Amino acid sequence: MDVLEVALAFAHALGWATYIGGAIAMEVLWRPAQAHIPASQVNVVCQRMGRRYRWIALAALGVIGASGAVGLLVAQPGTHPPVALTSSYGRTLLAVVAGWGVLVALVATMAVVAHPALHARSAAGLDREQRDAARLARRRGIRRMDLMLRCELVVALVVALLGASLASGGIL
Amino acid sequence: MTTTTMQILAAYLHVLGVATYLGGAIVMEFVVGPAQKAIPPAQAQVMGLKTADRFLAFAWGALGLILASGLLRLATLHNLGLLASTRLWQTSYGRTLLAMVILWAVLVVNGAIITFVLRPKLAGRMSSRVSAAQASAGQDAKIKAAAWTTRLARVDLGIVLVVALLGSSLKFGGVG
Repeated sequence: MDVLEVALAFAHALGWATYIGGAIAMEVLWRPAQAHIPASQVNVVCQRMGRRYRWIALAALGVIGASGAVGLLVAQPGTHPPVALTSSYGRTLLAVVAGWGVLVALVATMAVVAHPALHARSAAGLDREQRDAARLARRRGIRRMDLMLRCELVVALVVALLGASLASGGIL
Repeated sequence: MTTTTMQILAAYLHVLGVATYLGGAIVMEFVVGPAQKAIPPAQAQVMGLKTADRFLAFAWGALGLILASGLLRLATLHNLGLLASTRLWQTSYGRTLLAMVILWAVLVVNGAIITFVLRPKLAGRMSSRVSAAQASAGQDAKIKAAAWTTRLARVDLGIVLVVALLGSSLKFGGVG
């Protein structure tokens, strides 16, 4: 048994478990609980949780990328089919890498752009029209964030299926 | 359905089961828990109860999925007989698998203690007719139950991390 290979496999599994399990948990645990808490408190909790969760998700994706790449490099010859577009393994692996790239882009956009924009404070001294416009923009921002979160979850679930198929030679 | 499709399905469901349990536990410990401190205690209690109730259902579902998909995985790999043979403790693979099964059972026992012993204590409402001493005792019991729930949840998180490490090693023949 190669300790490095086991450590990399563990880091890879841990990264995926943290990322996918976290995304499912945020959707299944936190979203329904919001209905029982006043909106002002939901806003405070969302801000705190979003800030922490996004960095945890980005770190998990970083661990997945690093452990996956190093794992491929140090794998003993013959332990997996050739990484080429002519093999199902190679095509599936390419799709996994592409999916991982989409997830990194989505999470980074949410962490750096979408989430901070939702919690930006309105300037003082706005007239009624400007306040309404700011409120509308925030509502749109929340809808956009919800859509991105659901896209992220679907992409993650598909990538996990593709990844799980690699041990059997891939499915594409 | 071909054997390969069944193998992929079993592997996928197993990954999902472990991911939902582990990821859910990490979110509860490192995301939901600290965020609760940012709101007033009464709202934090409601949030804690609602998220914890859902997490318990979520965790039981994940534990069931891990067991079912694990057995399916062994069956599709023609290895189900291992569970009833001496290879279970005579080989590194078998011992690692045995350790995973035992740790899974510990998670089930801890889950049962939280669900059937500690949660009812936390969720129980106090009657308005109780004396000050009874109210204080009831409050103490709730605080103790909350502390034990937190401790057990942390132990479970540690256990599931060890299970994930053992599971990762199976591909390479196990670590036992």
